[in-house]
Amino acid sequence: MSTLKVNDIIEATSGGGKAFQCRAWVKFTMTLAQNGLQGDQGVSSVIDQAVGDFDISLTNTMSDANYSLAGYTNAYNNNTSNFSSAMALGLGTDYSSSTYGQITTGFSFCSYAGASVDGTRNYAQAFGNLA
Amino acid sequence: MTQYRVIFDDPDHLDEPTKVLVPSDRWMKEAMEGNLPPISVYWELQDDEQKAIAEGRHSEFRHDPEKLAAQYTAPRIGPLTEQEALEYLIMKDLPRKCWAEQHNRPMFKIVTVDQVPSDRTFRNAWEMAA
Repeated sequence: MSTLKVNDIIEATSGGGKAFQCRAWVKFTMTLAQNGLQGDQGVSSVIDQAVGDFDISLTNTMSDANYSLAGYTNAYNNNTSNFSSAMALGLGTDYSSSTYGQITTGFSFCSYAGASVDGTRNYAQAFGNLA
Repeated sequence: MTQYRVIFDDPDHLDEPTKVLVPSDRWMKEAMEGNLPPISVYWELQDDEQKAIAEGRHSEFRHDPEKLAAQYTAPRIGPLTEQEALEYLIMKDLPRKCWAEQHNRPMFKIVTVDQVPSDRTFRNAWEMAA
């Protein structure tokens, strides 16, 4: 059996395909400035805006801003042995005054529990149309 | 892993903490191998979307298919050095006002990893040093 190797797949007709692929995913910790991104594809950079507030820039622009986002974050209580469970995660919502939201070139990632809080584990994925 | 970060302030939100851009190592590798389109491809897409936002039609906005496809079809610009890749990333991912307009002080700096504080206790008070 031969092997098909490709670097990218895009729909021939926008919205006409039956293969739905994750367009971008990223895993990072709040110390990303020191340690870099732990894993990613389809992401060009992550901007550390403030405590619990990040902007994720996509490598490739989406066809519109109505793509779907999924993710997870936990809380860190300044004690490496004391992690909370999943916190309120605002994907595409910015709790700070610098609204990034969700646009075709990227989206906001905010962890919140009454106030913005850093998470040690932050995951985000984007599913949508690139063409 | 790249040892560089970009610290910047948004001229439209100067009261916010200084921000830190962390490049994707995977993206940097692609850039240095010469797999990027001209930066103008991304600028056109950004400009079209900002126009739609300003005109209040962002919810139904869709990019022009040809301009969108140019991300993949435009001739690649060729291999970049690490510094050139960072400059490209600044022009792609930082707010345009940060680097395209003159201000009375620098709005961004390329720094090394060890120049960024590791203690986030006072993260919301970070400011760019003069």
